[in-house]
This record gives sequence, C-alpha cells and structure tokens, in this order.
Amino acid sequence: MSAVPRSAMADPIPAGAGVGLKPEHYQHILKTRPAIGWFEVHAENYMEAGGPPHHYLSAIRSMYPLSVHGVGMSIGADEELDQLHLARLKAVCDCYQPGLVSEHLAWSTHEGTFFNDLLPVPYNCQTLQRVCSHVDQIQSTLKRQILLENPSTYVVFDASEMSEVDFIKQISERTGCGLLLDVNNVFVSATNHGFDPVAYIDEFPIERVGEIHLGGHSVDADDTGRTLLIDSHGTQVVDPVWELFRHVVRRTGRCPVLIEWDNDVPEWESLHMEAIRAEAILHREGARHAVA
Amino acid sequence: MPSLDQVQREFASAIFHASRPVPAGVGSNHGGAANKRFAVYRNNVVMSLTDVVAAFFPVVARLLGGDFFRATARAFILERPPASPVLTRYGAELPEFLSEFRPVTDLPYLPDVARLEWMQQRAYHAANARPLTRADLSHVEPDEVPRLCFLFHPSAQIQRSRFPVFSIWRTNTFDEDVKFIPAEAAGEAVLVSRVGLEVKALLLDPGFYTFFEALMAGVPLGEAAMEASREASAFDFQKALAALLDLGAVYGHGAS
Repeated sequence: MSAVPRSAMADPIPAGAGVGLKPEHYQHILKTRPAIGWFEVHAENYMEAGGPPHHYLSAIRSMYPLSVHGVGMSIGADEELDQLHLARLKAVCDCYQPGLVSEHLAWSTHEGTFFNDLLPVPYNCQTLQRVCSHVDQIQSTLKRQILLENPSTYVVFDASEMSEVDFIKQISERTGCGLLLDVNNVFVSATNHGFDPVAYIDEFPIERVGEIHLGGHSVDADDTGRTLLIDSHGTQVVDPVWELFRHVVRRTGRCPVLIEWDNDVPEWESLHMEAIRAEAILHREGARHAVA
Repeated sequence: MPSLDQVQREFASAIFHASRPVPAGVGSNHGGAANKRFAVYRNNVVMSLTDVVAAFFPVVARLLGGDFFRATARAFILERPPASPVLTRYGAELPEFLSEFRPVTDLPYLPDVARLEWMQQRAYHAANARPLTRADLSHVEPDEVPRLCFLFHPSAQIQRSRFPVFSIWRTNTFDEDVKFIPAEAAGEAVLVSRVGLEVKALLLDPGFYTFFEALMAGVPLGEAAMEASREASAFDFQKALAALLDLGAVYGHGAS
C-alpha cells in the first residue's frame, strides 16, 4: 500500500451532515448562514476562469468546510487519463483547499467524447489494473488521498470475474485510496441485480470509508417487468435507504455524510431537513457504535 | 474474454446508436433481454445533455417549444457530443449546427439568437477584471484622447445580425406576453458584457458596432470614431463611450 497523506490541508470535513451545494441556494446560504457542517461541489462546475460561481463558492468556502467531488475524470476508462482535466481538478483543489476529494468508479469519456454519465466497468483483473493506475496518477498529481465512490449500475458484464466489493477493496488496498460509500447506490444496484444490500455493507471495507452519500432514486421496470431503480438524485431519500444508512452508521460510527439532490432542486429548507435527518441518525446510531 | 477497450468501444457506440442491439456480454443477472436496462444509459446521456443545452439556450428552447426543442437538442448531441467534461463550455457549436439543421430552416434567425445566448454564457464564466471607470480616464489630457486604445474586458463581445436578434431575445426573456417580432424587421447589433456578477446585453445604436469592432481590433479611439461616423452619420461618440464604460466592457487603456 502506498503512503498517501490524508487531507493535509486546512478545514477537515466534520463527521456530520453536509449537502451538495447548488447555485439556487448560493444567496440564501450567504444571507442566513445555516447551521450545517459542510458543503460539497462538483469540481467540473468550477473550472472556468471567473464569474459568479467562483464568487459565491469563495464566499461560502470562507465560512464552511468544503469537499470536492469530481464527476468527469473517467477513472474506469481503458484509455489514458485526460491530463488537461487532471490539471483542472488540481487547480480547483489548489484554489479551494477542500477537506476531501472524491471521484467515481466509472468511465465517462471514450475517444474524445464525454458522455456525461457514470458508465459501468466489468470487474476483472484488467480493469483493476487500469483503475489502480489512474487512481495512483490522480493521488500523486493532487498529492493527497482521494475517495473512490461505489457506483449505481443497471447492467452486469459477462467479463466480470469478481464481486464489486472485492474489486473496490482491492483498489483501496493497492492504491491507498479511501472510499466514498454511496448508500443509495448500494440499494439501487442491490435491487437491480438481486443481491442483499446489508450483506454488501457487511463485506464492505468499512475502515476505509471517509464519506457517505445519500440521495434519491426513481423507479422503473426492466424488460422482464422486474423493478429497475435509477440513481436520479431528484427526490428525497427513501425509507429503505435510511434504514440501510442506520446499518452503515452502526459499523462506521460518526462519519461525514452528504445529501445529494442535483435535479429538481428543492427549496433550501427541504434539502436542509434531509441533512438534519441524517445528522439525527448519526447521533443516535453513532452513539450505539461507540458503546458497542 | 473481451478486452476493456473492446467492451468500452462497443458500449460507447451502442449508446449513440439507439437502433443497435445491447452489446454482447452486457446483460441482466435475472436473464432475459437487457434493452430497458441499457436504455437507462442512453437516456441519461441524452437527457442530461439536453438539460445542459436548455439551460444555456433558454430562448432557443422557447422558440422551438418542448418536443421540437428536445428533438433538435438530441440531433445536436448525437452529431456533436461534448469533447470535454467541462460542460459549461458545451454548446459553442449549436449556432453553426442550427444553421445547417434542415428542420429549423423556417426560423432563419435561430442561429443568431443562439449566438447571442452563447455570448452571454461565455460572459458569465469569463475571467474577472476590474472595469475602467470615468475616474480612470479623468487624468487623460484632452488631446491624447483620440490616440487612446482600449483593452476589452474578457466578458465583452459584440454581435451583428441581419435579424432583430436582440428584440427577439428580449421579449422572450422578459415579457410576460411575448411580442411578435417580424423576422424581416431591421437587423440589430448587441454588446454583451458582465457588470459585476450580472451579464448584460445592450442593443447598439447605428455606428456603435463598427466603433466597438475597431476598438477591439486595437484601433485608436479617434480613428474608430471616424470609421463609425463614416458608416452612420448619426453616430454619437459620447454616447458610445458612455455605453462602453457603463457596461464595464473595457478594463485598461494605453496610447497608440
């Protein structure tokens, strides 16, 4: 395992609830300074030279810890990482000094086309080598540990030779990266592929989890009429995902947890309520973890 | 076993060709066809990028209307997908695409409306720079004024259209009851710039476009004003200079 320093910079992310920062809420946050632990932004939304996004994010960053979540690095691609994009990610990190930096176990760019979606990878040795090499490059360029997020998936590959948890565990062991456990993604993939989400959590290398994500999903059906869940981030977190989150917190204890709500963004109060609910669960289940 | 490159090549190709079957080796744990599963990826790609285009080109979206806009956006996305994960820069090619896209030929002003909206999108994200104020110019000796050259703010851009592009954009952006603007009405020129955090668009008087275009090319103030007066006898130098300063369109000056 390579030695990568954890976030060496100022303002670590507190082990409490935060929310994804949306432009719709910039002014409300600056005006009311809500009681919330931290914010997370998508790195790609802050890669331009100037203008209002940087203005508002700088102001909010001066009041709250910040986490940077990349959505375009295409870590799971067979092709080489886009060095220009990696330099942009580094520039965002240098500018905003985030407490955590995370990316996805997915690919999104192929031969010069960016698909703007988190596409799945087969879990085998070849993919593992590529992903590990990409995570190594990112961590050495950023000079810090990143967290890698488990995906929501809708299909499986014949070319997969190991379980998702095994695959993720090996990436973390080989690269020293931390993990971002998206509980909604576990629930979505478990439903779509027919595995037990609690067993997934129990096998997950929980000691490497640096952050948890919670979000909403939508419900569809596959060709056979079986329920197909879609990770849409456009609604509240559903009860079974809260239940799974309680189970996670009993294993992790208090931990940074983020509410993601990226589409049909609600009024600040609705988003904040979700964070308060997450905070309450952290408080109660985290205490049980402490005495366990 | 297929290589990762092969898996991703086939996956990528099937996303953009809805008529192609789900790639071999991609399926469901439960057996049966995986068409609807794979369609989630196809939909995510097109729908999310359609939302991006709609956000950057709200007037184009409004002029085309719901289904027609979505079909046009889909054709654009499939023909000219993003080349970078920085989606704030996606859409630069929409005006050119619209000028060649046959179903919209009945709306000949549409590419220019798209150009105006794209200028505003660029202005929103342009680098910050403190604009020049009247006070900055107060120390300039009167006889030096004609020899002044301006540096334009990174957000400042101009457009001249043979269509009433500003009027079309304005009524569709601000008016509760959208006015009818005849496409054959006189063409219009526009200056777009960011003032503080706000992107502004200004309809230009006769001669202003020529004046600003010359200044942007580094022509000194006096010569640029003469060019503008030659084109439009009513050209108002003081008003044009005031417009530049009010819109924060210049951030530095020097002498030629």
